[in-house]
Amino acid sequence: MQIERSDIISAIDEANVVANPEGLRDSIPLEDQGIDSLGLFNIILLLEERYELKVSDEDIEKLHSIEDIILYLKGRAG
Amino acid sequence: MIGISGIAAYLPEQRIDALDRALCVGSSHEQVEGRIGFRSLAQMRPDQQAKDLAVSALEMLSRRMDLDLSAIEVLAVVSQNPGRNIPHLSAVVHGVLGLSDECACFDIGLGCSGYVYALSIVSAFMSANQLRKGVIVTADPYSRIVDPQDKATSLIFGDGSTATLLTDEPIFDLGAFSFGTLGAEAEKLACNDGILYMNGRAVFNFTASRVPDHIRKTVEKNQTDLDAIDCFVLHQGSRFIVETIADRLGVERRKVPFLAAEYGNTVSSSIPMMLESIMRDKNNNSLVLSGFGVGLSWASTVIKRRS
Repeated sequence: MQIERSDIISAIDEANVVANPEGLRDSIPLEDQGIDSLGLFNIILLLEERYELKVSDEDIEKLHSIEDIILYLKGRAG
Repeated sequence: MIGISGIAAYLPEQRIDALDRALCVGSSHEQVEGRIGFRSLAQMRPDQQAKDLAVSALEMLSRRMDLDLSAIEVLAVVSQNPGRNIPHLSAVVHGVLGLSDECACFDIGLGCSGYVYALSIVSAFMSANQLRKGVIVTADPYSRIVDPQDKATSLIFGDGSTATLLTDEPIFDLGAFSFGTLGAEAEKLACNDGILYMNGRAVFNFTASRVPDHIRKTVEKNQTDLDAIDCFVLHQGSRFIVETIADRLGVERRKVPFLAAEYGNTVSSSIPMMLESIMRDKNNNSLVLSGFGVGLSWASTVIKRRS
């Protein structure tokens, strides 16, 4: 499964939780860029639905940045 | 056919400033204003009980509708915090207000889906037994089970109560109902040893993934479509949940109002609390009602203004 930055940005855009998803920086925690825990829940739910997987509560604690999410999804894809 | 003739809503005067509380529990003003949505939370006085909330709402309904309380033939109270389990709260309210000896009384132990369930249960009960005047009271004071230090729950719930008059000459007719339960996730929103626990992510995921499709199917079941609905009256779980459901349904947010910013999520009272004002607007003729939460449980219907 190919996971690109654009896939994550697309989910953030659909979640409608920040004004300019394209402007987000990959290595900076999303929380520091205006996306709180509720916004992250929405983004992760959209990714769960798109990739037909479940992200546990323990795993979501480790997902802070776009980079974290890309690496996590690539790992889950094997 | 049995339907809704009128609603009265009661809110205690005391308010908790959720913006102040946010800073104490590790949240922020931005999260309260923009996401959770409740700037203040209604809270009943220490000397008040669920019974008092219920009685206040029913007395308001009586005054507003010029309703002779002795004419009520069935009273159902929706609550998960009735104060005591025995006797049932509806009987206590019956006694306080001196309702007729021939009035049927029962409680419905549901949370945020409770009002929609109650509309179906009580209207069916009335039809089956040829009753013409029934009342649904919602009174579920969560302030008694919320830990003020708990970030997940202390910025959400408010106390309030409502009373809805059902008659055979209604303003709004009730449509077909749909229901659902996800018992495997019941522990994600539960009261343990007197304290409310909520896994916010689980509850969000449940509502965002289940409720929009459920509403679509309910609208289809009522042989109408989303465009024909004037207003979606959703349980006010939080601003974020209401907006997420609107977005996932693909309907304009203005048709899915969030009106609970000044008093909080009043559980089973949240839908009738809004409906009281929404039904007065003559432009609102076709409404979706949808409740979801504890159980995890959900219920929806479409109601239509009688022409």
